[in-house]
Amino acid sequence: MSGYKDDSDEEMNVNQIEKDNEVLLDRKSHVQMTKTNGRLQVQIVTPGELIVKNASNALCGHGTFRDDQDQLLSSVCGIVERVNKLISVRPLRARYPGEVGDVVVGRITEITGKRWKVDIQARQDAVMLLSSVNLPGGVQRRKTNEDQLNMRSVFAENDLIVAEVHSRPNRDGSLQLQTRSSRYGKLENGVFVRVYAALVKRCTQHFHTFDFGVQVILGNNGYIWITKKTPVDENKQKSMPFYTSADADKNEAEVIEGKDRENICRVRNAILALQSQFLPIYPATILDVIEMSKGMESKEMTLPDITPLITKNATARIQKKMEEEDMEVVEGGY
Amino acid sequence: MIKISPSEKQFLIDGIKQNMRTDGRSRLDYRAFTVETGLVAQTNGSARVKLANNTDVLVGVKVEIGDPDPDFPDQGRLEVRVECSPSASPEFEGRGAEEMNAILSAMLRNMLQNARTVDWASLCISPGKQCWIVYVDCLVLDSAGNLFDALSIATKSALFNTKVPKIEVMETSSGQTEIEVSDDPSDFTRLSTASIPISVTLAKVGSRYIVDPTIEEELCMESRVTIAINSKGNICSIQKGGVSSGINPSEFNKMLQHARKIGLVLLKELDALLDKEENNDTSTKIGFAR
Amino acid sequence: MSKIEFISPEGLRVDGRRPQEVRKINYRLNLFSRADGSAYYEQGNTRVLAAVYGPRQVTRRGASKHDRAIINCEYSMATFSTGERRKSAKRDRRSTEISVVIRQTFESVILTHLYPRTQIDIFMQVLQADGGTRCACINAASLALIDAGIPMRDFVVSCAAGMIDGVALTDLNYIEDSAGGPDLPLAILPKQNKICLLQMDSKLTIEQYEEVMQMAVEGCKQIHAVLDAKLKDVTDQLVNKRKTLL
Repeated sequence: MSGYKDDSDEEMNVNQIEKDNEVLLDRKSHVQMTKTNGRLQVQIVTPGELIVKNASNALCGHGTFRDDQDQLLSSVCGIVERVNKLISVRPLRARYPGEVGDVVVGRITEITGKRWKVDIQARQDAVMLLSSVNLPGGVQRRKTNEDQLNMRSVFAENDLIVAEVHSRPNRDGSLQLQTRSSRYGKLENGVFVRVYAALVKRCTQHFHTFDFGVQVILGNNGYIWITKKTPVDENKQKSMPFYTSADADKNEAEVIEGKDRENICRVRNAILALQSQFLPIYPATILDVIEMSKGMESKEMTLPDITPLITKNATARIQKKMEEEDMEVVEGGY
Repeated sequence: MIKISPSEKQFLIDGIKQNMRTDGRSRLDYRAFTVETGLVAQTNGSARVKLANNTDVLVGVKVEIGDPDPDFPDQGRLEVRVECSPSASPEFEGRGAEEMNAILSAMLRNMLQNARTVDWASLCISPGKQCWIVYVDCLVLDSAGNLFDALSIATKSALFNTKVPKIEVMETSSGQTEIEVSDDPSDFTRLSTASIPISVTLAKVGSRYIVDPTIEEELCMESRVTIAINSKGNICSIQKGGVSSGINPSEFNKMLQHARKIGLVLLKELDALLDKEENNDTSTKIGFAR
Repeated sequence: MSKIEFISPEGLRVDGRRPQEVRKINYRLNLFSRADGSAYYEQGNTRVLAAVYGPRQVTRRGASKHDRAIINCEYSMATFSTGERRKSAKRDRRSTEISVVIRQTFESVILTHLYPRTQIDIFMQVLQADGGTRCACINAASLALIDAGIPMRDFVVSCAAGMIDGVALTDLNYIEDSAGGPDLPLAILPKQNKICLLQMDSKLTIEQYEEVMQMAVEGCKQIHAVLDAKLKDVTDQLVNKRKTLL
């Protein structure tokens, strides 16, 4: 197949090196690929490797840096990406860098002043201000001193929350979170799973409910929450946009049993199986694994000889997507 | 540091009550483990145990000639040491793991330092003067809970794998004893490890107890009982830890029965694995590169 | 006791290598469940583990730097790693010195200015020591940092060289190291051709020094080629499963 050249050839001039090879610019995913032996190859670089010789008009993205001779070098081991003049290298695994608008699951580590500090598997703990949180009663009001003293009754240390990344990072590099919408807030009565942040694709729906009654929240930061879907939740959230630990005593969490619990275990094990095979985690792949594991008990799903078997369909799905040339831009990873 | 919220704890406790733990196991289900022996060349014996792929411990055994314990002049002796590496958790850096190391070492020592576990008399070289000292050094590389059991399995495997060099004791003319250690690597004796027990840890969570807890389950447990069982089904040592107010004696008996049953199953499994390892050629071992 | 023949008449060393030959290398990444990056590295019979945490929140208040990440290094040898059992694993002087030296090496290479107010921990554990442990640990740490996605100026590699009976040798094993000749551990940034660690003990003439240095540099380049090739291969395999993440 002859080289497929995008009409925006000017962008390609940034790097003269690839002129000799057949270059395919997947126009939607911005990744520079070469077709060698009929197999798509991305450009993998290691730290210190040269990407562009003359980088005076290129912009250095993540994972790159400019040296004294104005060359653009890679600083990590990963895949080269180009968006117009911005060149960056994405490592396969890294701490969650954070993007505005991302849905994340976090654990409260500290309560200081008017803010909570939240661990979201990022380089620094994120910050959630008292003003970014909906208080019980739902009414937006100015926070009083009493609210400040009662912060612990809203979210206590070690509690899990689901929140949204609020605005640009603080001056010290930490992210800010907010839980203003009724979808966000404290998480109760379920299972927490930690995976590599890079495996959670950015997609439209981070709150997903499976047909068999399990709800997952796939945090972009690699923290995942699995619980039982309850229709009652909708009403609860409407009347009480904010679910606090004080309310927990009043509405005792329903004890999840039987088939529901087993399904939750299955979803958890499916997610861990996907992680062990380094596959992206999103509802379709989780379903693939669960389908393939129907015959076995959930505890067997995490055995090292079983995980490659049950993730076969998921792997095939991912590889199929790789071969389709016009893929949807689903910008997951970093 | 792994942390857990009160709500997650409740979910876990409910699951245990219903006999369905978070990973799908029932209360008395043990996770799968793998054993590899003979990985470290500079030791006299070594073993690596991986429990559920995430708990990783490496045990190295070295034997040296030294002074016997004055209370037991005609026996060899044992020195056990456990070290938790920061690769398991960043808080094990520097002195962070001291307390953990002490607890784990004490548990192992308690289990092994027993007249009947190893034939200590065979390790005596010259009564009152010299004997073999067996140094057992354990390294915890990664933890997903239940370090006690993993360490006991690894220790038994490492001791099984240990080759003690053959020696010749000679009396010189001046009445001094001289010891010559054989240089030949194929000239060795093995330790009799058939009586070495392994431990089974039962954790009390809520009103039930579970075997082989994960880290999250360990955070929810009120107390733990570690029971050492040998292949005859005898109970060799019992240790209770944890902050609960206590365990009912009748419940305790039930726990012992279960531990015994599970221990015997584990021992059989372990013996089969060790036999397989014996017959495996060392050159095919991949060790950590797998 | 017979004198060991370090170089045979045919020019072979005690383990059959040529003077400029580096030992066989093998490694594996991502071994531990909690560390952000980890590596198992073996060079001949020397086997080491490295685990990296970070960049993450600084644990000791007041230790954080407002303009860059702080690096924390710990080197330790397992008590069973050497021929004679070691008494102390961590806090003896040699381990502390090596920890400091390795930390300084990486402080100059990691792009710490990108992550102010964070900390990066590098923990190295020697499982089996057969000469060249500090070099093996640097290589393992480099791989672990790459595994954790932490940006560095270059792929730091390290190799030691020495001289016995007038012959310059690369990558000394324990027997050769104990021969009493000079030992020169070196760490370089291979693409930029810069030295980031250089130590030497015993004594050499300037000409001998040049020769041994050259051997060490060549050794580093050999190691870099091996590590780089395998890294690209492993990444490629993972990527071909994972492309939708881009």
